[in-house]
Amino acid sequence: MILFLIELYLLGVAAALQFRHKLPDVLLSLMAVFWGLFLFFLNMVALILLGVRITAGLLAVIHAVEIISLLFYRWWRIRPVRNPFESSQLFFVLGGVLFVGFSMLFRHFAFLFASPDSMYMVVMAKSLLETGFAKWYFASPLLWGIFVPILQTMGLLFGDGFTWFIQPVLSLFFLLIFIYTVVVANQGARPKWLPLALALMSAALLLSSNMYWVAQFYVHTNLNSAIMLFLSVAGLYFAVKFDNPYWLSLTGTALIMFGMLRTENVLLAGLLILLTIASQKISHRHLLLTFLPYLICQILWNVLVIAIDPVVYSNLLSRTQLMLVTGGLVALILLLVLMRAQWIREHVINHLYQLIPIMMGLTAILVFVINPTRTFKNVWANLTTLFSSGQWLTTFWVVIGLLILVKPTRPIIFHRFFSGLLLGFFGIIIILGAFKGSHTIWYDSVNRMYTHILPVMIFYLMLKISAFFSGDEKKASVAPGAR
Amino acid sequence: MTELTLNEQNTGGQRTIWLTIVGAVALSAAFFLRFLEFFRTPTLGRIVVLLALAVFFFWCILFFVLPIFQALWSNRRFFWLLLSFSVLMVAALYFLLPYDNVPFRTTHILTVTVPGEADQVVLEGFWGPDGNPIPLTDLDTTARIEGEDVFLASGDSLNYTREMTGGVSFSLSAIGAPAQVVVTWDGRSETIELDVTSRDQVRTDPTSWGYPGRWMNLFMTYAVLNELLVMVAILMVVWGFFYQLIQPDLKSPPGWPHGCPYLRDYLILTSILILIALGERYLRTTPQTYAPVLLAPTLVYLLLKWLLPRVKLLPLIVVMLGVAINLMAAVPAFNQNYLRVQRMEEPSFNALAIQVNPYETTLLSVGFYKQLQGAQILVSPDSDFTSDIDLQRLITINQLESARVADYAGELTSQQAQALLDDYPSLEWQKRTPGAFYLIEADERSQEPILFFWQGNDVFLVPAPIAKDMGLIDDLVFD
Repeated sequence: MILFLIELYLLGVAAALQFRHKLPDVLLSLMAVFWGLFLFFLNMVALILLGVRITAGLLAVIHAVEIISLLFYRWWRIRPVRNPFESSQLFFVLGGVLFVGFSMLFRHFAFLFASPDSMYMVVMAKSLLETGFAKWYFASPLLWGIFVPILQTMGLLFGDGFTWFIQPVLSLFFLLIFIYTVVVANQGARPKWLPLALALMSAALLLSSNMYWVAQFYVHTNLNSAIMLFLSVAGLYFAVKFDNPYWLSLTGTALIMFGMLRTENVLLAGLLILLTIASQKISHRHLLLTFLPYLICQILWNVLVIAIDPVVYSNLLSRTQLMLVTGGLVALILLLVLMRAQWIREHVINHLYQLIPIMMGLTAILVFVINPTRTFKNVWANLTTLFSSGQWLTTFWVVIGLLILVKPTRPIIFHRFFSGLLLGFFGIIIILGAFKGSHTIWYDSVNRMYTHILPVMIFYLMLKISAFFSGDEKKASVAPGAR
Repeated sequence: MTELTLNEQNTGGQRTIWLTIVGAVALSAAFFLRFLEFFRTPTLGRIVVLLALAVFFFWCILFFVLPIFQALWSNRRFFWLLLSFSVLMVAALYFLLPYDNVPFRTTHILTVTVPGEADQVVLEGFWGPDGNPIPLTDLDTTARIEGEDVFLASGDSLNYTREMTGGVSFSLSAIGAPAQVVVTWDGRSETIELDVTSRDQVRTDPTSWGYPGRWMNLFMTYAVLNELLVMVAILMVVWGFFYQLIQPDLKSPPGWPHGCPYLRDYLILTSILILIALGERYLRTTPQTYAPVLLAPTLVYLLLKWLLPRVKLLPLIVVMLGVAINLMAAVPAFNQNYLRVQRMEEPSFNALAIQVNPYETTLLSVGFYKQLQGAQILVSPDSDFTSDIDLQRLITINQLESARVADYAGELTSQQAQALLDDYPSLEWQKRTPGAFYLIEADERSQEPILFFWQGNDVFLVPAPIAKDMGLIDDLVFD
């Protein structure tokens, strides 16, 4: 297992090196964990589709080939290599030590939070290894995405009952990235201690809320969704802030993982894409490069699930609903491709920031009109869990209260995107409640979904607080470590 | 035109403020009494709600209503005409249309009598206005009380007197022969014809004013008058608004336009919370009122908004305070409901399944998911899985072909159990309680059912061919 983990990290490093000198090394060393897992995920999906019997040895060979290929490609692009050894490369070493070390630590001290859903995800993992996509028990891709089950296969390949250590390790690396991004986003703010203070307080706010704390050890999809959504948003933000499109590599890869985590994540992903288009801050070419891979992957996956038509004990979506979603994704591709057309730009793109909340508002009103009692009770349950019974303690009181209260004294880059995403998220919650129903217990699905948006909310809050204090936001400045 | 002196301007401004305060308090009292269940709110909650509403209405009146009134006041004659018309209109509505009483906390008297000939009338389930049961020992009655029921015979009566807000509910039924019951609530009588085949649910009028004491009488008079005056004021605002629309050259004296955007988020937030409080009041399923909980944050928000320009570090202080409270909640003494992460001594899939504490049927299904899917299952009458719920759950989770109770002896001797484990390969799956599930594996998966047997705490899932070989089901015939 240790060697496998080392190789996984090296795989991520090999991918991260493609962006060396474009993105900071400290970020790349942390992202290597996620990119390594991303490539592991893609390899697993490919092997399952090909019907190959998966073993740890086979994966090790595939990873080794990929590492060598990526390193060779990197060398071929930048040759001759003038200065092969730089001090910032130590971050990669440190990252690897952290990853392997904490994986072993958490593997030994098996701290865990689980629910029946965790059980079913492990069964999904077993099914993937035994029968591929053909056969499902209890739960299927019509209930959850396959990203977490594929992560779970890691332990199964080495004879473990399931993979309990990966979640806290991902959380640790996410926290480091989160702290780093908050510092970088607020650099230049006055007083000088403010960026670091904001970063540490953000992390403290996350970790101190009971729900987030257990999510770090919870074999489920919520924290991973939070991580991937945050990385997607952070990539967009910094791409605009630093005028550096290489940040979009975070968005492109994280969005694919986000979509593969939960069936309803496609709604938020779609909203994120629309808001990015509406911002008109990213070039068309980069929009295509960033979002087309996700959209194509999601469509292909949906088509596969429709073709398989899994019939199990518990499903969230029906085939018909999945077809509708797929149709929506196709429409989104068309919008992306055709957005440069004059008519579309004038009549659609320029008004998207207004159209999105109007459409969401109308949908929410329609949902309310169809069944006002049920809708209100769902909303009431959502509010109850958000502020009282959902084990978030004071977190959302602080975050939402301050988001409304604090008015920045200078403009925040991408602020309409953030506002639209946060309002859109809660609009989706209200609309989803009509289908799923809501309860006032912490275990309620919607309550756990608040985990997805919390890091983004806190990030935006820290931007507002920083802008409230003062300081000139440097335009197109470079992130530390990048050239 | 005489210019107003500074003193006169100040006096005029102070008068405006006081009028606005009076208007805000009157409106908040009327709103609270009418819509947010004043008498069912605890005392501290009442103060919070009144204050929150008064502050909200103060700003609304100042920004939106006052300019209208000031515009109307500039034409005194028209103002008095409009006021008279509004008073007449409200008075007419009050006297011509039935007034929807606001429930007040007064003394209510319930009397239930059985005047005519009847075998027996049973009164069951005596509930108060908050949905809590009322002890039958509080009743003054000549009838027989047995358990939770009151048995009234011909000529019996039952009296209940209590100070409360709202009504009571109970059910009546006749035993032996139809009966006639007279229910008198606060002096109003209703005769109910009872049938032996049905049970009548009786709910007394929650808006009845009953028999108020002297002070409550005064309060009720104030409340009704206040509400009527508020309605007059609202009508004036409505007429004034339309009047301003058709008189575009009429200039409104300036309000505080620069303050309105400053408080815009507070006004929007409070409006939303008031709407939620109204929705919760009319659509709730529990008797508890949440208005204080919903409206208190608006006061805190306003306070923070006032503090923010003066205490620049306020956002950081609030975040740190939130973190500190969150951390305190992790201390068991402060929070018994804190979710805790556990350490697994021997992490295995079986241990994971046990830790999540599922139903026994779920645990069993997860343990043998491949073998059970699509299978047929038979359980013996003495098995733990004979209930319809368990069988249906097994069918749903595993998509079984069938699951039913069959007539065979399910208990194994210890020798039989040991023989099964010794002679055939088996899969073991630990239970939450002591014992384990054992799935005896057949060489080939057949279409024949899987039978449940048990020995001590252990449960054995035995394919029919193996059960036959072992002589466990000699006389069982399968469909």
